[in-house]
Amino acid sequence: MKDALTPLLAALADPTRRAILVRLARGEATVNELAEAFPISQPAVSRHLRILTDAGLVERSVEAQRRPARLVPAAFDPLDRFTGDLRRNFADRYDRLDKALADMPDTANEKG
Amino acid sequence: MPTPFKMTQTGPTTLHVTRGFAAPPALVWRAHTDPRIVLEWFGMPGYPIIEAEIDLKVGGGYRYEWQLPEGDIMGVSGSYLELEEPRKIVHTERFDEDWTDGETTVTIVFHAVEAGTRLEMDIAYRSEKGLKMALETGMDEGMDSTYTQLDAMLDKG
Repeated sequence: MKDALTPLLAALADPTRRAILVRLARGEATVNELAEAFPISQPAVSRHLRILTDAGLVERSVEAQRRPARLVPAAFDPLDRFTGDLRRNFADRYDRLDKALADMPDTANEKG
Repeated sequence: MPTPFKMTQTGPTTLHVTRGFAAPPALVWRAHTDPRIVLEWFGMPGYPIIEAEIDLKVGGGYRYEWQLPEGDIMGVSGSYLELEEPRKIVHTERFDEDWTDGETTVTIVFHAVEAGTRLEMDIAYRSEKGLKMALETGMDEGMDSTYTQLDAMLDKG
């Protein structure tokens, strides 16, 4: 069983990393640019980017000098849709339960 | 006309769910406790349920698994605290990935009503944080509010 979600959750647990993701949502950025945007050092930026890359949220292009980081939007998908909207999960399930109940024998006979 | 679906927060750590069904409590009970029937309806939107095991006794355990993309699965497990056929089930619930800051306790009552059954469920989270985590309406909305807050922060300085 692959565990796709723990590294994702761990990556998102840190507020600085979430802030970096917000910045990258506006466009790619190098380590230098990120270190200038936030009150943290370049090594700290690199460390955060490594965690985000390992979680599949960010990718580093391989331009020789710059290696800008960019978001991988599809990486959010499993987490997004699984935790998405408890209400919708329940509502959807109960619609299916209506059908399952209708398919069960004795619904018509026992009702009332 | 059976009661429509409703979910409300009833306290800092509790949710309440109501839903009516056009079937008697005995059938709604069976749909919740027979793994073959659970497999017909207990999926998540886009994520089919692929496994349901139920040891239906007080102290017995259950496990469900859903298919995620790329061969991943998500599972939930728990045990039965109370069983009163066909009226009441109380069970614990914990997901493999902890969405809810620990185990929750779920109480389901199947009320016999003229239209069939009215299901009333209480979900008790271990903490306020747990309930908030459970209600996070997906990364889109979660990230939207994070973006808004951080935009405000970044604009300031």
